[in-house]
Amino acid sequence: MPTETNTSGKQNIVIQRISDSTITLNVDGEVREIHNQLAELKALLQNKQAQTVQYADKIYNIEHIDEANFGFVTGKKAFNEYLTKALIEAIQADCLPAQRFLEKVSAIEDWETQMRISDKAKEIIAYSFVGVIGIQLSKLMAIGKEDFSEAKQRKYIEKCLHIAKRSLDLINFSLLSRLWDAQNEQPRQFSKDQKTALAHHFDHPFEPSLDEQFRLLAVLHRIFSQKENALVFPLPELENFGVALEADSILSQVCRALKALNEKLDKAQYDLLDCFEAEKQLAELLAQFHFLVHYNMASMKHIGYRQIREEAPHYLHRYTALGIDSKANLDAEKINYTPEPGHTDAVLLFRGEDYRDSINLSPFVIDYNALTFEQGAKICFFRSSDIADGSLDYVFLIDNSSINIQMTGTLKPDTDYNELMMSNEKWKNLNIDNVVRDFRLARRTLLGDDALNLDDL
Amino acid sequence: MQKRYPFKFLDAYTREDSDIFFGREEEVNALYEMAFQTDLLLVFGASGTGKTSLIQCGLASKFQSHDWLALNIRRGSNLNASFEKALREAGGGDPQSDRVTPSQIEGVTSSHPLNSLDWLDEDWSSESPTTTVSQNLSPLARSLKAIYLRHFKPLYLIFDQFEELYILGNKAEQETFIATVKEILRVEQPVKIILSIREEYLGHLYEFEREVPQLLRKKLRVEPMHLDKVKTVITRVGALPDGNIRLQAAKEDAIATGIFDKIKGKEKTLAIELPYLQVFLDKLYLQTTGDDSRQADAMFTVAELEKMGDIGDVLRDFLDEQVLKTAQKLQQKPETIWRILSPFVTLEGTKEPLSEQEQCLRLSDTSPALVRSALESFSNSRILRFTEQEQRYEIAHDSLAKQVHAKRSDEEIAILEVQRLVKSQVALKAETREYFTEKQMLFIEPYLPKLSLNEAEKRHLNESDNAAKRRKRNRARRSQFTYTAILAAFVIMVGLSWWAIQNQQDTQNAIERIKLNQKINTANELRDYGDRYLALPKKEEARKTYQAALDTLGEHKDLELYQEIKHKIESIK
Repeated sequence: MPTETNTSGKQNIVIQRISDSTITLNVDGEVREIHNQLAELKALLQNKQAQTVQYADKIYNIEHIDEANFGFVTGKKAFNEYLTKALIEAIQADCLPAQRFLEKVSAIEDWETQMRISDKAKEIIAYSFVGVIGIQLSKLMAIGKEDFSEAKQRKYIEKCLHIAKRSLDLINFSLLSRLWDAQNEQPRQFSKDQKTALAHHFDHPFEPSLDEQFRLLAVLHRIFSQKENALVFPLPELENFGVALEADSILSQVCRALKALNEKLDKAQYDLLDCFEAEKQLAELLAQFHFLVHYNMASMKHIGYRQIREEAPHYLHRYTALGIDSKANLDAEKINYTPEPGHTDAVLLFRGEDYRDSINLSPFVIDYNALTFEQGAKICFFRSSDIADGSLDYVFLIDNSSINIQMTGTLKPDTDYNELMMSNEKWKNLNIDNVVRDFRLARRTLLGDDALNLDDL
Repeated sequence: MQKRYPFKFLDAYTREDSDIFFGREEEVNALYEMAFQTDLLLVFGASGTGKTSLIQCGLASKFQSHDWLALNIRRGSNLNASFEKALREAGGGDPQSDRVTPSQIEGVTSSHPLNSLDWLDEDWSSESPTTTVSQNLSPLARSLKAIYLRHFKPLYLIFDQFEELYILGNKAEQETFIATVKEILRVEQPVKIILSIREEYLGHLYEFEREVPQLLRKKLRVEPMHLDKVKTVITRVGALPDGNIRLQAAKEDAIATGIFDKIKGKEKTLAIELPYLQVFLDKLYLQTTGDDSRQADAMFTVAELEKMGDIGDVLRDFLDEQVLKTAQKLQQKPETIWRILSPFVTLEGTKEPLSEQEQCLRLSDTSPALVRSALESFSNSRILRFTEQEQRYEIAHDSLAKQVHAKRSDEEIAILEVQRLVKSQVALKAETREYFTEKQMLFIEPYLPKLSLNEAEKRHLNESDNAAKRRKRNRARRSQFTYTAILAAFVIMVGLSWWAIQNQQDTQNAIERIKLNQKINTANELRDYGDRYLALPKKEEARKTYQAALDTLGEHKDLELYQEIKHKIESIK
């Protein structure tokens, strides 16, 4: 649908056809042909004292078109081209395949416009970025490859926003998780503002906006940066991230721009230029989080115990690696036989290949399939909570559908664990209850005793 | 705006029909959940329960378009070949032949230092300094990777009517397919397999499950249409904003129940088959509107439903009617038209897709022109469906196939059995193929003139015949030889017996001789002792000793020694 329905110029100028080299226009009934260059189009419009130009049922304000997005309007630049080039360059210092790719294409001009070559870059990006973000990026690539349609534009902007939100979530959740653990060991006092921001995270009834997510990140970063707190960043790359979180930083601007796009989407007032804008802003955001290519994610499915006479006990960790290549087969689960115990039903974020020094993102990120003893991963991110009934709302990353988790009250003071675990259904309910219980524990630990006690609900 | 006719007749619902696909929400949700819990999903149910629609419409429309790249694969003439073809068509051609050449890339000329673009096919996922070139991947893995990179969408490989692999396929084809599935489950790309099979063929999956234990771990049984589901379908179809069907106000429930009861008839069942429902609804529409173009608005009322009367078997009636119409149109007897339909149905009463050429081969005594006309007529009446991709015709639904099968005569069934027997043998590799036995040839021979055989089949039958004749000759020869051998053996046996008896006699004689000699020796010794007693002279002792010598010799009175000793006794007296 058109974003601007009134042409403000005196002339009615309609683009009829665009080829690689020319643009054919109808200027008040007269057919004109110009070179496929923005400068020539602008000159023509200026000459005719027109402000807008119509193309394929859309009316574009010439002031909103620049060299970067002109190719998008004319179809010369495809979806994902900008993002692919920007991201492969942003991660090259952290990712050997990206570095090798850029070496290979250094002599090829506009390689990103050659589908076969840019597909290779897309593959590297999707496989390199941390688990769930890599999967989301592959979906963005898939949307970009679909035939042009109204639905495609909407889906493309939506997916850019989802990826941005989940990336910020991932960073925030890792900071919150580490902070929760640290508070359990040694409670620290937070300022009123900090407490308000934390409470907002735990108690907000709707999905936070990108702006709010950015503010939470800034608050958490400040908490970790305060020397008196003596906290260690869960992701070492965040240590020098303070500048990126300043009020006028690129990241802050990106979050605001994406928020604005979200509002346009809600009002159904988007157009092709917004697709390019979303792509550009997402590229900027992920470039800031380029270090995420060093990270991996895993879902701990099951931990078994083994101890034989005169030998130290060992644990058998069965886990699923999260990424494009993760499989849903029982025999595709990975195994680690180790003397170290681990958290069951945990979604882990870790640097490199070894998850021993990992961040347990649960209950902010859960694998619903692990909780219900199913193979494969169904990764859900915490979205909001309902103070009224104490339920938690999660978003399933694959289709963005909502999963509501409520306390089932399976575990009672007189419950016999042996009897409870004889029933798979009851055990599943117990796992679900544990998610809510952990969330409330984290909330109480971080907000202090004066916070509203959700257990009383 | 033209209103929409909401019934699909015998066609399966597809993603585009999601707005008219009702009553399956529960099963669709279950299937959707399972898609995240396994990479291998089994959908099973009786014929006519709507398995294909559930997957191709229900499940497909649950996924967003960027999350669903489906390849629908039917067996065709060979499941493995059809699968490879589907992969090629989806962009999974061998990357060797699909490789980028410098001329295809702008800015890279033949003299360009980077004119070799082999690196595009390299796998850099390990970040190892030594790259693993994707040529090391199997052709299948390479193909799946190529498709994924072309679309970046999870790939769903849907093997519909999977029972065809067991009805029409042979062991080698089945084994190859199982190996393929095992390989697919190992590839790095997001690829899922959905197998849709009629439940009576589940038992055939024993070998498959042994090789792929997760085969039956996630499975969904598609239930037939119960009354509540039929009600949902009818009422929601009647409420479609852009549909051309309306239901009599406040009678929606009665109409839905009436339709269900009419289709069910006197059968003691709680469910009906979908094709019956679809054909019935179409018939009700035509009765109400008389509009073959199916564009007119229709109001389904209780009265209109009552007019349908006792409809009996709606599908059988529909088929009879269409065959009769085709026969009249082509000026043929109905039996001839039934015969043209028959090869499209297996001996088990399931569908068998055939190309026009294959059909003509099977009906060698029918003119190709007539076959073609009949095929066209059946396509128009929606009894047969033509698939562009496979260039094959097939019966629109297994429920119809069952009806065609029921029309077959005993002779026709026998011919089909013979045909299958011949084809199954010829389909085997030469080294494992066996000639038909004489018993089998006796069964085959009466139907030979009515069989349409290809060269390989004719050759195999000839060879089998020759082999049978050879076997007969050999057997006759063997019989003659056996008789001679038995006679010779008898003679030899007699000879041997005689020889043995003789031999035994000689032995006995020898023993007797030895015994006699021993007696003579003893008698000689006793005579010598007697002689010594006589010389002493002790006559009485001499006589007793001589007598003992005579007793030793016993009855051998003819011996010279006997006489001598006898004389000596007499001389003592």
